[in-house]
Amino acid sequence: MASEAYASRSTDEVHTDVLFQARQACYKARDAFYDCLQKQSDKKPTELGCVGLLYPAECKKSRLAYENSCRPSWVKHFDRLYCKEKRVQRLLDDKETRGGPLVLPQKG
Amino acid sequence: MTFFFICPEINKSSQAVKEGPSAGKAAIGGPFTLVNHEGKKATEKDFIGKWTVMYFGFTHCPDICPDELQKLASAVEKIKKKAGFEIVPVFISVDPERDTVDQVREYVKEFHPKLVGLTGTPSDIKNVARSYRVYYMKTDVEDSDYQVDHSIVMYLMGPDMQFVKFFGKNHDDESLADGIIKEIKQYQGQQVKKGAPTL
Repeated sequence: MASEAYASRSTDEVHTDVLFQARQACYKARDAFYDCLQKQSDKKPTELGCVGLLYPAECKKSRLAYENSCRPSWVKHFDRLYCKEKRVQRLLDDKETRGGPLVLPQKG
Repeated sequence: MTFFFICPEINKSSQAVKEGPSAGKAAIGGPFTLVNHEGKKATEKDFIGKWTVMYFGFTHCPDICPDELQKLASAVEKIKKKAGFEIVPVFISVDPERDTVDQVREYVKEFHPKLVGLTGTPSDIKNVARSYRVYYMKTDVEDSDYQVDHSIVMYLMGPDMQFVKFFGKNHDDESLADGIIKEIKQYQGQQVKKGAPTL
């Protein structure tokens, strides 16, 4: 009974922004933005994306293209993954600056 | 004297363990009433007599579900080529609010012509997820958009819709295909011994 009623309710619009072509366009724009971040890694990050992701102004164009190509929740999801990856990489790469014994301020 | 009588018993019992149903198989699966991507009622009975692989996900998934379904579609093709077995791949939504019949139909047809999409009322989905021990929960709720956090598992179900094996995300399409072929051949071997029909 309930299942028949459910079947008939599918007159809502299909969300095509999650289907194949839209996904591919989103991934492409996302990867272009992250590539920009890699290339501009020496620049100072001044712009703020969501979930606290900072990026340099040089990547603003690709950032906008990425945000326009993907659902907002997807942008958040991918940014979060990217930040996590970067954090792990930083932990693995950072041998000189963070390694060694903890130095506390001395008294006197 | 007594030892002579005990030995044949020991031999028989070890044989029985090999041929009988595996002890400790988790009670996974069970009856369900859902709606398929053509808008028709679908129950577990529709899959009797076939080997089925079920994957729980949602169409608004950014990356994992498309990857897993792509992998499943590829494995189905590999299994057919390598061993001639026909597998029925099934996608079951854990996002009944957004995954209408139309949404699911448009989504599944892009992966494989044989991919069956199932959705239903929130309570029917809750029931089937519970039977398959699938965890799912809405997250990142913001302005009517949200994600659904869920367990990422493929369930291989036999011709009686009995649970046979699950495969995690770590398998690629080749290993998934080989794993499924192995289970089917094992099942068929057991059926031959029993004198039962093989499928």
